[in-house]
Amino acid sequence: MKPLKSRFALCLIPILWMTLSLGLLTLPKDSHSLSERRPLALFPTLSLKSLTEERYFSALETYLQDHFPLRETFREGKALFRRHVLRQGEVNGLFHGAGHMAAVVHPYNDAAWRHAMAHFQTLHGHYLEGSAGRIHFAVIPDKSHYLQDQGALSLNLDEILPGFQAGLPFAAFTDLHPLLTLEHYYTTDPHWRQETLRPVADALLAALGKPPTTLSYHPSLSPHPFLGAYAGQSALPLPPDTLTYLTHPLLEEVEVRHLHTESPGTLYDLEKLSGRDPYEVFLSGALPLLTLENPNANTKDKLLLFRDSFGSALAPLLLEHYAAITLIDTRYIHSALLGDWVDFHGQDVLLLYSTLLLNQSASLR
Amino acid sequence: MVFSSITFLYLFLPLTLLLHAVAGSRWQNAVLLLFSLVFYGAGEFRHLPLMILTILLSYGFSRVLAGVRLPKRRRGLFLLALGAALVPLLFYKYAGFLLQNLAFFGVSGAPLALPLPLGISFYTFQIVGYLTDVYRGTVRPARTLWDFAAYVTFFPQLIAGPIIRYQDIEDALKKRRAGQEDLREGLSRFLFGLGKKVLLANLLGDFVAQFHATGGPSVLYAWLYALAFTLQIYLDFSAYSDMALGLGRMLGFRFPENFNYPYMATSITDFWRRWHISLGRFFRDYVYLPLGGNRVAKPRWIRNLAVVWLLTGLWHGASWSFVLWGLYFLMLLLLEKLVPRLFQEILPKPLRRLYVLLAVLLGFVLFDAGSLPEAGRHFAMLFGYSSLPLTSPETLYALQNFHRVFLLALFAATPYPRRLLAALSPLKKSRPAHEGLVPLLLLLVLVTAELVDGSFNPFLYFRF
Repeated sequence: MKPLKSRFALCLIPILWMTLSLGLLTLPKDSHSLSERRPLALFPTLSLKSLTEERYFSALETYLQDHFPLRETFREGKALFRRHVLRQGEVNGLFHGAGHMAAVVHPYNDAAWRHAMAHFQTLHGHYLEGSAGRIHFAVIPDKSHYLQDQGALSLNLDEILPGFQAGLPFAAFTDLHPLLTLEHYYTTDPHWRQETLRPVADALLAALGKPPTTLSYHPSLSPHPFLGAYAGQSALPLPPDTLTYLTHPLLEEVEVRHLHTESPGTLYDLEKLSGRDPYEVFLSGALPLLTLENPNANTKDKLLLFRDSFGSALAPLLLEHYAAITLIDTRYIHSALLGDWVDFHGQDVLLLYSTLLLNQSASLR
Repeated sequence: MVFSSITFLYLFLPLTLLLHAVAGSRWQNAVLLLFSLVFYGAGEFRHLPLMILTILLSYGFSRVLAGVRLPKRRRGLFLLALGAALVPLLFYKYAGFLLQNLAFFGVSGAPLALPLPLGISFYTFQIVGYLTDVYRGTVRPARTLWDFAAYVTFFPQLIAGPIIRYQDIEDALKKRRAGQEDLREGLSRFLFGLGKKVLLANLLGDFVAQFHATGGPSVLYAWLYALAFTLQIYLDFSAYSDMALGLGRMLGFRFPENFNYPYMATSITDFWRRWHISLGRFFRDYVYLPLGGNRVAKPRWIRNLAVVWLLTGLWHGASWSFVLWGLYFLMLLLLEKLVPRLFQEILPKPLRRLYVLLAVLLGFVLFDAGSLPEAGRHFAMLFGYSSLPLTSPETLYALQNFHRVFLLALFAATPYPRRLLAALSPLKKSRPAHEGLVPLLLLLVLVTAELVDGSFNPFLYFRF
């Protein structure tokens, strides 16, 4: 007769198996995944149509994957296996190196860059031509640019940008990539750290004919550990960052207005620090149109900032030398409607986009 | 539904094993049939009636055939039965190809792109084999429709083989019992196959997909792709066979092996005795030998081989690239038969293995190409035409990401992992049972982790 230890050991796999099966069937289900920032699948409705169209069982599989017991632990296990046993640099679509996670922005999507160029040309043609203000553009390299020595694939900006520049002859260009390093970005998020952006702000202000910032900002730390947008996708355990935002008495008097809802906003939406995406602390995140008015500006100059999400952290650092900055995100408002909301006459214009967006620019409308 | 899915592993399989175990011997086949129909319907509901109709017709024919004695009438009935079994396969798989080629000769017609019913090549061949054996008198027809239906629809091997002869499982269909040893061996085999599929084959599939999407091809990338696909198709297909054999064992059935480490072969002849053994047996017993095999004059023998390899190519897919693939191996086999000393004595064993690996690798490049022009493009990449660089940043990136996967896959293509697992097996009397558990537990946990994180992972041989 086999010893008890051996008999128990032989039953261990079936026991574990049945326990997970029973847990899958009986445990209460969550509605959202905090780590992945998305709602979890609902139990599919069984119907003849769903069976004949072969949707039902694939939907059931998605539901069971989403609600599997200890799902986050298993996801982490998979990521650890891929990263440390198989030694993969790219796990779950993200490159890992030097303590950072970065999206793989590769290969070069010519159609996307051309679409972006055409979009900016249209904006210029409709709204900016003949305007007295300066027009400027800058491209923010994504993190993978600074992880190439770790083996990351990245866009060759030295080859791409001259052609892009040539397509926007109405705009002067500032090369940001020498001003940035990996340390300017959060480790588990694509975005840059506001507290490191002074040199970038000064370079852009200089390009717009403004003096550098003179303000002594005070860094305020979020009380919550910051796990960015990549943390959930990656599933690898990386230590959290501390999200920092810069304050100053001048910034405290800035009035923020959400134009599309005609409601007031705040420069730093502190409620977001404990939310699903803490980076939304900067100007409340993704919004189509908002203005920042600086009542203490010693100039009447205004700036139009056409931007993606990176612009939210930079805009406050440009405020010292502008009476108002209007932030426009044409991913959330069609450019054809802008004339109803914005006065383009005589304003400086800054087109500020990251390579993350430019390489997938279909959302620009 | 696929084996490597949460639905199968954590809902379908535990329920099937449980109900199969508690059903008495009277009801076991009914349980199997029911779950097999659910399994098939989960992936191919709209073609379920077709499979059921084919089963009904084939069973009916086999019962009538068994009772007919007159040779002419018997032969006529057999041909009718064969036709009824083969028509759906011929229609779904080859009608479009035929129309395409007729268009070349000026015969006009709307292009036909029919979705191929899952597993139709496998279950049709099983039925054809069964009908032929009944006709030959080497097997009695199934005693009941439920037994026959359970045999054809048996979910462990329904959609990707191995192709099981009725006589291989006839006794088990009547009476079987899965003892503790069967459960342990079956579970071990199943988990081993599951690990091969999810942890290796699927990742190699990612590499292949990345190659096809790359904007930075190179000669090195093309060769790595060829190696990746060669490993992927073996690991994917043999993993499925491992799982089928493991599941069968847990349910009280013993299936014959379908793979015998084909990449260890020392000739193409040897390779095809190790690769998809059940298909090779089928063509040997039902096509090659009835045509006369090699016991005829040389020209007829070559013709017999050509027919088998033409059919082998076409069985894998309805396109000229598959026909060419079959004929490619025909040429190699003929070469080996014409110059046997070269391949058996003159060339040292390592060189023979290298020749086989290279020949098979190039064959699979042809196999993977959707068309002859695409195959031509891939071969051009392999040999550096069109000024392709030797390497590229994308190649090095892909290699960095997958180098360990390649190494593990190469290891998994040898007999050594199974020997290692067997050495650690809980069944070894000299070894405490719990020591063999760790690798199996680890496999289960890692596979579950991969599956929970979600990705659709169909078997490559699904659409055959």
